[in-house]
This record gives sequence, C-alpha cells and structure tokens, in this order.
Amino acid sequence: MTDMSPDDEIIALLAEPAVIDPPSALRARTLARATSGRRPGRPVDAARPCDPLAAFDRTVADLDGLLRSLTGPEWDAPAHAEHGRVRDLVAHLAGVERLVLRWLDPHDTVPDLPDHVVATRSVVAELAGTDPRDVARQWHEGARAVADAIATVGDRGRMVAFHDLTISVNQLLVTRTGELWAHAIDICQATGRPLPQLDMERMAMLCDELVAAVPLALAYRGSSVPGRAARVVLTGPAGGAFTVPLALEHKVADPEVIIVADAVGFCQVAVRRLRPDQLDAAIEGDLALGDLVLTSIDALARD
Amino acid sequence: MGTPSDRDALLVTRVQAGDDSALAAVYDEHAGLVYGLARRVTRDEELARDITQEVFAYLWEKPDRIDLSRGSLRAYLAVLAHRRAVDEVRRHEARSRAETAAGPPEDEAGPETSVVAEAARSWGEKHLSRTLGMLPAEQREAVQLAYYEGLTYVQVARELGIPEGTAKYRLRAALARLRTLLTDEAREAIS
Repeated sequence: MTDMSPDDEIIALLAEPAVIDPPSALRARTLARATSGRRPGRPVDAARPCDPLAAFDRTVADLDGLLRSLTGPEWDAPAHAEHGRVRDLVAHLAGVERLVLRWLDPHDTVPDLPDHVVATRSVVAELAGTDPRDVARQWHEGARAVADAIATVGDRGRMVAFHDLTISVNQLLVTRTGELWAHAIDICQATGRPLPQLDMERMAMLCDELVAAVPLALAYRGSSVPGRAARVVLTGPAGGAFTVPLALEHKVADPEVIIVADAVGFCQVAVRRLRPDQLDAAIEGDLALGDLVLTSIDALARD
Repeated sequence: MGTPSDRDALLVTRVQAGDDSALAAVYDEHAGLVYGLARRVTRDEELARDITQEVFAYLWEKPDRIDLSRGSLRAYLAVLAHRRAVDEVRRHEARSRAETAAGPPEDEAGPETSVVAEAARSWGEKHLSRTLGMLPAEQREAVQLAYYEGLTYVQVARELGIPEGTAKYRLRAALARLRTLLTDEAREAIS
C-alpha cells in the first residue's frame, strides 16, 4: 500500500514555487523527533539477531538433516575444489570439530596449524574407508561436543586460537556457522538440491558480527586504514546501518564511503560463496575504500 | 549515482534499512519544499514547523509506503506536506466555526489558503490527470518529464532537444495554466 496516486503528482506541482528555507533549528528537532519513534540502525521489518551459539546449533542441525537425506551415490559427488567429494568434505568437518574442541581447552597444547585444509588431512585420510553415514555421525557428535563445550565456557569474549587467528569464542562461533553454511551450499550444489537458507535471526546475527569484524579483517589482511570509516547499509530484515572504523581503533571517524548491499548477499561474500564483484552493491563516496571493505569481509572465513 | 530516480531509490532503501544519515540527506534536500508548502497553505510558521517534523517522522517510520514507480520522492513529500497542511487548515476552520455561533467566519489566512487547499483536495478526488491533458502538448511533455520522471530544467531541455530557457518557460507556463485550472475548479467546488 502506498500514499500516492498519479494525480498527486499534479498537487506536487503546486509546491515547487513554495520552497522556503526552514529555520535552522528545525533540522535537529525534526531528526530527533523521527528517530525517537524508530530507533536508527535497524530496518523497519527488523529480525532479532539470535545468540551466536544458537546460530551454530541451528546450523549444525540443518547440516545434519541435509546429510541424513543424502543417498548412496550422492556421497561421492564432487563438492569442493580442495576437499573433493561430499564424503571427504564431511570428514574434513569432523576433523575441524576435533581441532576446535582442543583449541577451546585452555590446557591443551595444539601444534601450529595455520592452514585450514591441511590441518584436517590426517582425519580425512583416517576416515577414508569409513561408511560416509558414520563419518557424518562422527562430525555431528563432534559439533555437538563443541556446542556443549562453548555453553560451559561462560566468557564468550575469551580469546581462543583458530588456525592462524586469535579470536573471541563468539567470533569463533560466527566463523564456524559461516563454514557450515558454506559447506551446506557446496553439498546442495553438488547434489542438485535447492540452496540452504539461514533464518533471518541467524542472518541478522551474522550481519552484526561480520560488520563488527571488518576492522579485524582489514588488520588480518594488512590493509587497515587508520582514521577512516565506512557506512555499511545492509538491506532486508537481517540488515541494518553501521558505521565501521577501518582499523582497530575506538574512535570512529565520519564515513567517507557508503556501501549499500543486500544483507544475505553480504553474508554470502563473507563466507566466500559469492564474489564481491557479484554482489549487487551501490557504493557512494570513496569507491576504492568501498571495494577494500567488500574484498576484505571474507578474511576471517575458513572453509 | 545515476538518475534522480536512482538516487531517490537508494535514499529510500537506506531509510528502510535504518540509516539515519539518509534521513538527514532527504531533509537537507527537501525540507525547504515541505516547510515552504506547509507555510504557504497554513500561513502559520508554528504549524509549518510541526508539519515538517511530522512529514519526516512519517517517512522514517513508514518508508515502505513510498512507491517510487508512481512518482519522485520530492513529489511524495510534497503530497504528504500538502495533505497534512490542508487537514490542519480544515481543523482550524472547523474549530473556528464551532466557536462562533454566527456561521463560517472570514478566513483569517485569506481566501487563497482555503481555495488552494480545497482545490488540491478536489484535484486528488476527481482524478486530475485529466487536467494535465488540458495543457498544450509541449507543456504537458515538459511537465511529465520534470515531475513524473524527476528531471531538472537542464535535463528536460536536453531530453527534448530545446534550449534551457525554453524548458524553463514551458514549465512555468504549464504551472501557471494548472494553477488557473485548479482555482477555477476549486471555486466551482466551493460555490
């Protein structure tokens, strides 16, 4: 439903000669009154972001359901450029869960394993002769153990290792949720299924966390831009409007670029299932800065 | 960012997403129109300020009510401001009538206020696109480009392959003619 009829355009004609500069104090009063009725930062039809652990839990359940639906030959379908077949991809995930459990244990000493793919090769080899449904069961048990371990952690701000990253437990959950979603996409593509969608609560959480992680992502890539900021506007119920510093600093400068993009597409770029140049985004202001942000948001992804 | 309608679409998208800096940008671009129109119809600065606040608050809270396929953001805001201003004038007149036993009083704001208000309402109600059809073709063409497609004088001139001064003249002439038609119709409606 809209407030306009084509005839209203003619009424608008009458307004043209009526332009008068309003009193200068009216601007602040008008903006304050508007934003007192609807809080800035969130879309009109905003989804409530879920807890990162709930997002991980739900994504584990989704992938478990998908794996249970696979038929015999589908396990051998090529699914990933580096991991290979669906069965090998799931074995890789089983290896990731084992590693994450160790990284979550402050008393465990995990060897230096910077490369995400190489780090799980031994597990993939170990499970090569195992029935793929059993591999899937092992992955699911491992993922549940990770969720249980995190539920007992308490301080989700605690920093933990994850390959060559040191991130908070919440950031780890975000990265893992993204990884499971990305691989569910791989498996669905490999087996001709419709691509999996995350619910809007998970998407909203991912948007919040991924935008908040932009300074870290830039720092990881060695491309921080101190003293500058971007306005990121993500559309759809999971989106919102955010001003992000482009370096690890507390002071936020006035944004020099505005990036407007679909929230779901933004998350797909962040989990490397959409290239930044495929994202339908509008960039106003410093275009190079906008491109830098969009090409950096996948820096913390591991798949 | 490309055409005026692209710019409108992007601003509305940003407002929908909760970007208050987009609301500020819309205010900076169109507050003069909204405030000026409200003041012209109500002849009251205080009311015009209130109406301006209400129009932008409404835009912020209900951005999904805009259909940019049916007109520009500027036209939408003008319509909102006009409707709200006419409502205020009517409310004021009704109050005055209730307070005065001896019939409708002289309009304090002068005859133009109620005429314009009534006429605009009348236009909306009687499908006044017919009125647009009463303009000479060259004026109608210029008006359609300027107000339906949101082009500036310069862009209208370029689009029609005519000098800028000619485009300006055609738009002014069209506006004057529309005003006359509007006022005639309003007088008929009121008498």
